Amino acid sequence: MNMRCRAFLGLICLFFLAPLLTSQDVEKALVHRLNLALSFPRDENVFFQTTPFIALDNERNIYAVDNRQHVIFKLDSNGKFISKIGRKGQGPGDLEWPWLISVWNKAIFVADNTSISIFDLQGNFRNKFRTFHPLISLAPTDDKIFFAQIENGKIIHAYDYNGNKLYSFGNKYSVDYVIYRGWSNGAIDNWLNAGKLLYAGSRIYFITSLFGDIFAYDLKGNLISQKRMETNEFIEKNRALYFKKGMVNKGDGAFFHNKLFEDAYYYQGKIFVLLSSPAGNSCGEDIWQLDEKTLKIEKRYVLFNKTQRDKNWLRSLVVTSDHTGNNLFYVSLYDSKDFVINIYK
Amino acid sequence: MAVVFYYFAKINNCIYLLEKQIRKLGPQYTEIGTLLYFINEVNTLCRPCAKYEQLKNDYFRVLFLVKKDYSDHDIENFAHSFKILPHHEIQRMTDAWEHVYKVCNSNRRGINYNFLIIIDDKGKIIEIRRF
Repeated sequence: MNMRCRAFLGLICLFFLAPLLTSQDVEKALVHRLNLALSFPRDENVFFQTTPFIALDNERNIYAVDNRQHVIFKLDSNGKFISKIGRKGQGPGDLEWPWLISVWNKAIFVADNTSISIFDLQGNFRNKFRTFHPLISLAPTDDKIFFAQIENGKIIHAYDYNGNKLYSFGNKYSVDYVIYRGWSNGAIDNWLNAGKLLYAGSRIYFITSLFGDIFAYDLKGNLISQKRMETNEFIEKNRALYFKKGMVNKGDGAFFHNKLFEDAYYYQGKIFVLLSSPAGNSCGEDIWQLDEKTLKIEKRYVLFNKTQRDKNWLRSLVVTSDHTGNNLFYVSLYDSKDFVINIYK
Repeated sequence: MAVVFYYFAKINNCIYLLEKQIRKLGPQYTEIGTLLYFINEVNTLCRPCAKYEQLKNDYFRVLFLVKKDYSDHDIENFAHSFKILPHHEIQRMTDAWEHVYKVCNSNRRGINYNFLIIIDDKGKIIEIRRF
């Protein structure tokens, strides 16, 4: 049989077999396996006491917030220790239980128990102000900082760098509080509306971590679009649980917080979502890449196998690219032994 | 020796120091019931413990004492966030008030709590709530 005949037969086979491919097979084709390139800390000066929240500057220096040590570790792109920023306290330049961090416009924005502190990239203190409600997420821009926090029924609030509140927008989820016996309304609101704010040039995205709703606003706060992440069992179960069934406080203070994702990050027109361990195990994936325009999942990344995923506690994701243009995924996690920052590519 | 011990016990007594400081506020705070809030941090989940919403009315004078380093924006945002009535006052703690706060707040865990102090119309403390 000559080559032309073989090619012809191959095409006929493909023609008849193509309809037999299910949508799951097509989805699997979009799954990419990422490999561990580097793991931090690699310096004896750095020891994390908890899983750090991380941010990157343009030179790929890493800013890792250690909540228990009340400091920010600044590491270079190879994980070498550069400096510590902040110390425990409530004064200017001090941090008390810091957690959320973001780097923008050559400044570090970090949220702690009492306030928002702004440092320059060398760690010099610039400013500090308070926001008065439990913070959900923060997203700095060139002249403003957007906060997700529930205040007077609104969820997103814009402040200038001096702490002057400018305007508020976005409505919180409305829920029948009666189905939550034993919990305060404020606490329920905070749990249900948990999510991540992402600044994308002319837009602000707010993605809710329990229900996978994506709200897109312009910078003035007008809602442009609202979409739900591709529905799966996980989200449907959450909607049934949190909006219909509710929860009773049995006195142990345990609230079933079944998050779809731990963290999200916006980079070059794409939204990256770091799935929580249960959600990741339900679909066998760890990071979803959504297109900004369609808000649909266009790539799925796998970091771990099932047993590894059960052991790892993920926290924070930052995406950037190396000099060849390949995406680098910085993920902070607890791997059942140590608190580390891993780089995958 | 007993006198010295009594003296030190007195100057480290939260209620004694509070009442002394309240008297210095002036008669307008002791003629009608007063609510005194020591505000250290408010973006915690235990914040709803202090029911300002339920307590705010014209029968109480309300004074919020916030930390010294609160900026004008902080005070403005604080008033806006909690819908504080315009005739209720927000002041920064003076050194003397800060000393009283530290004495009242002393605890083994080193946690900085907020306080609500309810004062009757004779300047006596009825209740101290920590939240």
